[in-house]
Amino acid sequence: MNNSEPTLTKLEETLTAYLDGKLSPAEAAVFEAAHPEVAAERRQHEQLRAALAKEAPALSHGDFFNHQILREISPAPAPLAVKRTAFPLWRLAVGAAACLLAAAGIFFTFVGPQKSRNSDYFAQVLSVKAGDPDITAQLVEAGGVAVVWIDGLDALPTNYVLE
Amino acid sequence: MKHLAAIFLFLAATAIADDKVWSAVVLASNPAKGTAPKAPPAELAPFAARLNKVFGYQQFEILGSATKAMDDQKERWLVPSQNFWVGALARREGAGYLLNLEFYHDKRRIVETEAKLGLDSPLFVRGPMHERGQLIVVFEVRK
Repeated sequence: MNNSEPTLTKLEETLTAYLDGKLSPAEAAVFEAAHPEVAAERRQHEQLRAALAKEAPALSHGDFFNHQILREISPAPAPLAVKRTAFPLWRLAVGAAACLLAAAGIFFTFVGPQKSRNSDYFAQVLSVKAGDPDITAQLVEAGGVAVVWIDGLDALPTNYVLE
Repeated sequence: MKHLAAIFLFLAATAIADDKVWSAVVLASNPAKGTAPKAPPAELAPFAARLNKVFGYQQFEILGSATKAMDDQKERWLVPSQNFWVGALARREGAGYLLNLEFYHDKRRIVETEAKLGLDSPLFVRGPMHERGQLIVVFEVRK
């Protein structure tokens, strides 16, 4: 049976326990005597650790920094794939404009003139000329209507039949 | 797009072909004392109040009228009554018409005028007086 987890040697186990402070003072003394270089490195490490703990500024917003660090190291989201549609925006805009144009054309062709009967009176008289030297004709624009006003016409006789 | 343009051209041509000229002889009068004025005919109803202000009469009666189809560059003669004629030469201009109009009373030409008229915008000509009231000749371009 193949065990994939690496096995520690007796020395490594003792070294790990020493660094973790798990050895009894007697066992630690025996280990330091056998490996003085390890003991020296351990002392330097403890000195450095104490110095850092003394000099390092207190981190007041730890959660914020953790969040920033996690965001920086998290993988960037994959860019969204651009989908090609059958009706892009410009085509829809052109279609809408064409529909509006058609509606306006139909409205002004069939509805507009009827609506204008009351509101859009337009009569512009450019010239007026009496057809007889005995009469006078002039343009009168009063009350919102154009009237060609003729004076000098004789009143119709009493027996004149209007038909 | 070509189809759309063709539809608009067709509609525009149809609109011109459908235009007509209408002329009428109107008697403006006041009602007898103690009686209410008669309601104006539908053709004149939108303008009755304005005609009342201009001419000073309260009721309007159409004695006769005539209508003819509009045709560019052809003079049309309208005979709204046996005694009044109107000759009209029309040319399409913008949304309305440029018209040369001649008004005749019997065989006497009383006035000639050039005017631009929009649709449903009548031109009024004050004609002779009659014992029953004032005669007015109306000319209008309509659908």
